[in-house]
Amino acid sequence: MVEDTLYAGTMEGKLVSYTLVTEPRRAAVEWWRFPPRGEPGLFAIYGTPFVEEGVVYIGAYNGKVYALDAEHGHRIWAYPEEGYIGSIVGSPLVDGGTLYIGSSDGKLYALDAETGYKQWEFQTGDDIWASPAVYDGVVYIGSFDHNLYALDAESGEEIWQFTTQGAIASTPLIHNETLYIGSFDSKFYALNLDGTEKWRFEEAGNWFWTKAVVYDDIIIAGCLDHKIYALDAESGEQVWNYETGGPIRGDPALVGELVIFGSDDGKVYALAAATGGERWSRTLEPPTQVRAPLFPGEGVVYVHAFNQTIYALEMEYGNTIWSVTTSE
Amino acid sequence: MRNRVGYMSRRNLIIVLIAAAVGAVLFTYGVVETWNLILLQPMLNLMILLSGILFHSFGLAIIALTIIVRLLMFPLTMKQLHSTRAMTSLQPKMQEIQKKYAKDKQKLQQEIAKLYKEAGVNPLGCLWPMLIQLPIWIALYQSILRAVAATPEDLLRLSQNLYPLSVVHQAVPLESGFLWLNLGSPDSFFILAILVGGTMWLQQKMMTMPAVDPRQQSMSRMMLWMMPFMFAFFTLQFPSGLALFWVISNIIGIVMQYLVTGWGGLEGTVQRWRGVITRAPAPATPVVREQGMETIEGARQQEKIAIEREKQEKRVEHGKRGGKREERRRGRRARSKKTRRKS
Repeated sequence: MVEDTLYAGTMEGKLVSYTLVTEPRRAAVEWWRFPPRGEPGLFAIYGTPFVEEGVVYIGAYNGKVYALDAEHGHRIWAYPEEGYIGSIVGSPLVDGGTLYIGSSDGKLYALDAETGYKQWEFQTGDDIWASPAVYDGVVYIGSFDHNLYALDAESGEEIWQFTTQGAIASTPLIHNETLYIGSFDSKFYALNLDGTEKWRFEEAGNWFWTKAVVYDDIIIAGCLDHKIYALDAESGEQVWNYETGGPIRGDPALVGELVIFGSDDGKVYALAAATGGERWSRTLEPPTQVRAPLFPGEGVVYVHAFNQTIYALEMEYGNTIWSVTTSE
Repeated sequence: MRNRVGYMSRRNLIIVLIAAAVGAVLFTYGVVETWNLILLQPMLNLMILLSGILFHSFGLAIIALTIIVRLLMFPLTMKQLHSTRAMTSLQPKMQEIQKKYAKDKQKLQQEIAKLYKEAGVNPLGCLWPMLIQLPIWIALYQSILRAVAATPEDLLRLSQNLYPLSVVHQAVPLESGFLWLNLGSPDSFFILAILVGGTMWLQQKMMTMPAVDPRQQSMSRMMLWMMPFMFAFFTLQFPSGLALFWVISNIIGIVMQYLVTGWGGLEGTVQRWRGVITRAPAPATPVVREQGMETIEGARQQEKIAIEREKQEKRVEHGKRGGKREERRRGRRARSKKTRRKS
């Protein structure tokens, strides 16, 4: 979501750009799609597009990274130009002119954001489905090989690695010189930035697959055990938890004092971030699941559901303002 | 109450109790949940557990689970094989009865029932074990597909079917590489397709018992080729983990079949190959002779084997004579060399 434009990757392997209009009524109008209508898609786009300086970056499940002109959707470059790397599930991240993206071939790639030339690559022991995070010249990336890696953003050299007991597919959150990440071992970890463990939360019943958000020193993370957990950032003590009717796979969004998230039970929930009290919950129609991250706009939260429909829900009560299908 | 139970054998009582338990679970959870609870989840979790034990190899886990399931089903499979064999051996007599009482349907039924009773064969005996095994094979097939989890959707679904055991959760996602294969996608080298088709053909061929009825004969011939071709084609479409299961399952099936009926329909081919390899008369197994001679086709097969054996004997005899001639020639050459040196 950038200003009045919404970018969404679809399960058909298309990247769609919508312009948000208010006249004659609030709606989303398709501006362009890549590849264009009628042409075959890129298998699927699971990651969230990254937009910077008029360029949209996206990784596709077909094993290619694309840079597109944000205005018209024209291709600027693709990596690799010939052939493919492993399937891409995570999202790209651009920082200081370098694009970082992980792939199912187990490599983290650092590409020149302007030209798409490879600057370096780092091989892990298994698939990378997670998205990277960059902080203070260090790239952090989780891998299915159970490790979280800290790499020098310039050279790609390993600084340290932290081993969990399960695969890592979520994106790290960095807050107050501490890194927070969940793993498929059903544990949630807080690490110092030198790779040492600060605390771990072990009371969850299934995997952590979402990026956490932070509200007033409370770390909030969704879990596949159908619950969303709020943990004290310093001690890891549980502040509250809230149970839904399905696994929570999509990253929550923090809007003011509300934490808004979707669940596989087909509902979108808004809770008070401090207490976990429910403000509202809405079932999407037709029934579907929510697995993509939620994005907040002005008084609106955007939900891209599994039924290939984008819903705009008003923040106050969760009523649907408009919805648009992304499939052709 | 005691008297009523007394009428029921212990075996039937167990069956009724199991059926009642399954019925209760079905009523409570619905069909899909019951299926997952009773069959799919135990099998899926066992496979992941095996993968954790067997060096985190999903391929080895599939092989181990196939063997375990096959072993558990061993009594049923044997029962099925024995019943099929018994039914086949009754075919000639059955033909005779059918011919004899073609016009009197009632008498025909009576005579067939009598034949079954005398032979101690239950015509449904080969059907029940097969029916019981079917859901287990479907569950095994589903659990392999589910464990492969090649996409985020699959992995999310898998997470909801795991037992809360840390060893199971730590083993996921499974290592999909095995030998030259990626178990999550079809084998691009066609090797598995050939193995699946080949082993299935062998098993089918062994199972094809000689039939007198021409319609039955053409049906078996069609099945012999159609099934392997069909499964080889499926192998090109499905994840190779599933094809690996088919190959291992077929190999175990071949071994079991061999233990019960010997080479069965493959006997002739095996004898010919033995002859080619050893160039010596192949001994005929008495079991096959007895079994094969019961039908026309079997008799023809035996005749072929006898002709083949005769040919081999001639070849061997010819070889012996040729050897003596060669010896004489060598002797003559040696003598002429000696005389040349002396001169």
